[in-house]
Amino acid sequence: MSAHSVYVPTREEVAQIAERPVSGLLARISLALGAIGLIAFVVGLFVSPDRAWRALLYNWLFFAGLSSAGVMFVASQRITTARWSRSTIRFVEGYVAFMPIAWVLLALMVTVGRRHIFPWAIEAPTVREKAIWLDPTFFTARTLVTFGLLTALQIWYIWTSVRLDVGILNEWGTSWGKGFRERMRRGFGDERRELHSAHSLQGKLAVWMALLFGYGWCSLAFDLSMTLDLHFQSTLYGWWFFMGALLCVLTSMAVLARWWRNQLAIPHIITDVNLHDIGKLAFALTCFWGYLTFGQYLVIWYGNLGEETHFMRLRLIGAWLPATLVMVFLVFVFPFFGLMGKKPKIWSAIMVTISIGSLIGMWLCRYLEVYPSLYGPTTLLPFGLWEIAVTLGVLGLWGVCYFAFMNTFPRLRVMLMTSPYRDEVQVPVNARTMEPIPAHE
Amino acid sequence: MAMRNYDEPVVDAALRRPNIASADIQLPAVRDYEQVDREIAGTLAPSFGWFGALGVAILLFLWGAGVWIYQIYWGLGNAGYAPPVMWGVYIITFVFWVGIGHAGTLISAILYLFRAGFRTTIYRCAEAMTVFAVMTAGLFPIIHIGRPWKFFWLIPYPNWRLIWPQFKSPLVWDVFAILTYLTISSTFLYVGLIPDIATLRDRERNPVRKQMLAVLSFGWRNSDSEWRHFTRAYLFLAAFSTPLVLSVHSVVSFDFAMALAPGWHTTIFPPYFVAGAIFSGIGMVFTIIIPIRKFFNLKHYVTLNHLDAAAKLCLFTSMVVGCAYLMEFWVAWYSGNEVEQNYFWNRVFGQWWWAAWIMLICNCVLPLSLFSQKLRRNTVWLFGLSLFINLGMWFERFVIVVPSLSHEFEPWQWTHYAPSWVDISLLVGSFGWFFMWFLLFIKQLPVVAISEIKEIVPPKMRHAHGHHGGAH
Repeated sequence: MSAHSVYVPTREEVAQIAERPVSGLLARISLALGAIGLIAFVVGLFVSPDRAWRALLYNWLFFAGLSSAGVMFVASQRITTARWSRSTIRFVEGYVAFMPIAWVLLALMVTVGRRHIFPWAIEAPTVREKAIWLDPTFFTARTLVTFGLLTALQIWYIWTSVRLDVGILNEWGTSWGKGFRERMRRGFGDERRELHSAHSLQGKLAVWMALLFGYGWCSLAFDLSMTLDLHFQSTLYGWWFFMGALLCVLTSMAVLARWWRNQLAIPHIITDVNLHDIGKLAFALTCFWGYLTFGQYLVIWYGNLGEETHFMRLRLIGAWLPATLVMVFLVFVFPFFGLMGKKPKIWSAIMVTISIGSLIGMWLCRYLEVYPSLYGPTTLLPFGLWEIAVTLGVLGLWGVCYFAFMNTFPRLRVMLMTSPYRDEVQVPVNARTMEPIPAHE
Repeated sequence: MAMRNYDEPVVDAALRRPNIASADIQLPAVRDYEQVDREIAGTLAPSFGWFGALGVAILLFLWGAGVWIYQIYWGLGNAGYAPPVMWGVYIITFVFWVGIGHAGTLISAILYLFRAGFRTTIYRCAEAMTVFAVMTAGLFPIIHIGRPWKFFWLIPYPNWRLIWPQFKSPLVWDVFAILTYLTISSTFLYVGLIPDIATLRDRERNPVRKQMLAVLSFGWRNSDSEWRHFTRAYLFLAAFSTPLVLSVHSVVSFDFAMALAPGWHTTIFPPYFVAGAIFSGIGMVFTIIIPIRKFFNLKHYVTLNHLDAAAKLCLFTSMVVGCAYLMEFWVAWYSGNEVEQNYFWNRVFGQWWWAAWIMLICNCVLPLSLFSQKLRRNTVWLFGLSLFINLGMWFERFVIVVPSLSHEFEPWQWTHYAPSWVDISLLVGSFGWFFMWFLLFIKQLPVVAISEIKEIVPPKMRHAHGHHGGAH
């Protein structure tokens, strides 16, 4: 990303910024939404259980995908030893807080709600291979183990990152998180040693995470989304799914970086150059998502095989068509033309509008992955109270988790922003001696 | 800021500082601009080894050219086609060379946009490789059609017969995609060369050659204004080239994915072809750059850190390709489609097992060694691995092209295919053609970008106290 000179704040300054009080309004709104959503979902279980569970599924795909991809994005910054994101990446690290909750929701969906969501749970597939793959025990174990491992690995990664900052700062944060912070401080030693050790460990964790993320989300996308239509299969489906989640990370980061910049009053630290960098990546991922979407569509359209085209055609007829068009417009057309050039990526009004539009569009994309496969051709869009309530509920739950994290741990990557040793790890180093490996023979 | 002694390079002090602006692209043994000019321009002097290598390349090329003439005279029947396998080594080799051409633009354009420092010393080599690889690839559709003088039928020019190319055919899309790619990658290579050509011009003593270089450098004077325009143009071309990296090999993949042959019609092909192309291109970059850094004494420019980073990219693309293989196998099984299942079984455990396992071992198993930092920094291993990657990626295209055609829907059509000596000769000749151009290039123009290296070498402090700024 941009090679530019940056303002380097002192540790005291960053520490003081990280402790600044911020508005609790969003956290309270999140709590209220979570409560409303929970009540609505419970009511829905009795009144319209299919709709409630199915609404939970597509919201889970959106929010769990976002959270998991967020941590993967953080890990990608370590793999590429990126420096441009140091001042903003903690805002994305907070996404990890939703992962354990997402695992619980997944467990509920694949056990209690399975028969309300997956048609094959009621009537076993006639194709032998599909029956084997979707065997209830195998399916449940596979999804829970895959997502569970990913959750554990992602929490471990963020733990190593947050620990570096907790270790050098005074005690601060929510009272319920004190135990976590004390545990992080245990055995915390020399700053340089800790930095090198953490960098080394994160390198290994990041690579394993990338593997698990890629294969894991392919499997989860096939299981929880593609198999809803038993007659459809696409080899690209998994990649297409998680690239959409990664796009959501960048657009949500564009919004959150601005919010935190205002809340913490740090325009000198999160500069327009940082916002431009995020905007550039959001634009690049928009293009890449558009490429994957079009690539998948074109191959299916040109091949014109009924077993594939019915999936696309269903989404282009009846009540689904307007939703599909809106989704494509919000996720690709609007950001692609709107974010060309430098100024729209920096101007908050435009960037936030486009980013929120893209997030809504991707949420709609998840809806369109799930609902048409379950409801088939229809002239009346199955979208109403249950979908809205469950969406708001999961959004609220996500917000509660996020703000709980951000109010418990340092809100900035203090060590990587201020340590005199922070750039030593930019070149390959011997983690034991902390010296660079000779650059050439 | 405290001023340093005027003539003392600032490099040592910069390296010792904990916060190094360009820490990830440090060149500890490169101390000043004069050294950069001297050492990189010094690689242009011909040597016996170079003449020997060029001689071998020209011989291979001439052999290939002679065999092509033989094929034109005696007909396409001399190639190893066995109906319905009417796409064989020529199409395989076409896709192989287009793939090789991919890494150049990835390294020069996409990594430039990401400000990835490790590209600096290898991108020129990769860009040149791209242009020559695409030139090589472009030969094969012409060879494949058997009557090369009819090739112009693919070009959509208005003509009196009112016959137009079939625009619905991915083969015509190929013509557009590859010509666009060749145009942009050549322009990108040339624009990046302009400041370096000017450096060579300034060092040149032969007046004729100096005049030629002056023309080629467009009279570059190294002014602020020129640099400003240059960097703008370079950034624009990088941004313009980036979508081409995706589009070209996606379009090549459509040659297969649009058809309804088993193993071909699959949605993952576009990104999978792109990832495979980048993987094979990086393999070829290693094949080229490792001997160059050894024989041209450029080890302190193309450092182990650069190779280490490129090896990580190679590992990543290998794993993407491996994931795509797995997706194909899994969906073939999950679909319950017997034709697809039989096809993949035949590919891996049946008729073509040897080709599939060469592919899997070279592309997925051997690159796993790059998880070891020691092996990533071992040039002998990297070079050997790169040869296996080249082999594996050629066989990947073999495995895509031949088994699908030899094992289609109707069992009575199932057949065998074996390349003839004509096929093999033209394949070998293509390597001769490619390396002939590349070897000629590296003795005419710098294989490492002088101007970009200078951007990361700390300048001498030219002036006394009170006059900030270094030589630019």
